[in-house]
Amino acid sequence: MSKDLRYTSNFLKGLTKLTGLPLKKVQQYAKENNPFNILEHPQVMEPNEKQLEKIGLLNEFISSYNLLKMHENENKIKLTSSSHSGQYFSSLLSGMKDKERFIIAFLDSSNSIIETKTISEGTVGQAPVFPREILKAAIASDCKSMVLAHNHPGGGLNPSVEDKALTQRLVDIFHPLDISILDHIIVAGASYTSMAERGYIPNNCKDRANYEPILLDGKSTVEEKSEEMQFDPQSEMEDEEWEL
Amino acid sequence: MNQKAMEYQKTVEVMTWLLDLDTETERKVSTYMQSVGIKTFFLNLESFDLPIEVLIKLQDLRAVIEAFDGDIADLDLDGEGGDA
Repeated sequence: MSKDLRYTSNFLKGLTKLTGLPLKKVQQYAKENNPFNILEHPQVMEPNEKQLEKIGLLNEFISSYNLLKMHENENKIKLTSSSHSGQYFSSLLSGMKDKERFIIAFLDSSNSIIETKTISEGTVGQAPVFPREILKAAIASDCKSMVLAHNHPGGGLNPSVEDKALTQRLVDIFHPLDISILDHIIVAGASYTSMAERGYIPNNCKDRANYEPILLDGKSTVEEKSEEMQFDPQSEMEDEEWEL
Repeated sequence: MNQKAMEYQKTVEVMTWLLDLDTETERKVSTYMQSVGIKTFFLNLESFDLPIEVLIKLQDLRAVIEAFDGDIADLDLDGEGGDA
C-alpha cells in the first residue's frame, strides 16, 4: 500500500466501526504512524481474535473491490435497449421513496456507460433540474448520447407533461451538439416506464436552446441559488453562440 | 452462474461476513451491484432500497475504500483530510 495515500477522519471512524478496534487507540496510532499499516500489519493494534478476523475480511473486500472495478473498466455496462436502461435505473432509484432524484447515464459511441451522475435531488414532489449542469457534465465526459431517469415518489408511472417538456428542452440543447437523448426512464417503486418505448423521445429540436432551470413538478422555472449557477453575462453570450 | 456473477457473489459474501448482513440484504446488494457495477453502487448508496442500519454500515465501508479509490473520494463525505 502506498504511503502517499491520504486518509480522512471518516476513514478512521469507518475502520474502527467495521473492525471493532477502539477509535481512540487508532487515532493515537495515526498521530505518529501511517494508519494504513493497521490493514497491512494488524498486530500493531494488538487486536483480539474477532477484530483480527474483521481486518482480514476488510482486506479481502478491498482486494475484491479493486479487482471488480478493474473488470468494470474493461467491460463497461452497456445500455443497449429500453429494458436494459429500465433495469439499470430501477436498481439505482428503487430506494428513493421520499424525494425525487434526477440521474443521467452518459454513454459513448457503443452505448457503454462512461459515467452515471446524479444531476439533482429534490423533495417528494419536485426536483430542480439545471440544464447548465447537465451540459457541463456531458462535455466533461465527452459522451455521444445520454439516458435520462428520475423517480416518481408518488408511484405514478405515466410521464407527465413536465417530463415530456423537460425531455424536449434537453433535446433542444443537445441535438445541435450531436449528443442524442436515447431514453427517459421514469421509476416508481420497483416498476419503470420508458418514454422511448412510448414514442415520447423527440428526434429534433422544437425551440432554441433554453438554459433556464426546470422544476420537474411543472411550476415553470426556479431561481438559481448556488453561487456556481448564478447568471453571468459571459455565460449568456456563450449560450447565444451555441444557438442553431 | 457465469464468471462475472461469481466474482460479484464472492465480493458480496465477504461483505456479508464483514458487515453481518442478513440473507435478504445479501440478495438485494448482490442484485444491485451486478446491475449497476460496484463503483456506481458505492457512489449512490443512498438511492437503493436498503434498511437504514445497512446503509450506515455501507457508508462506513465507503469511508474506508474512498481512501483507496480516487473516484469514490470525489464524493463529499464531510471528511477532515490529513496526510498519512
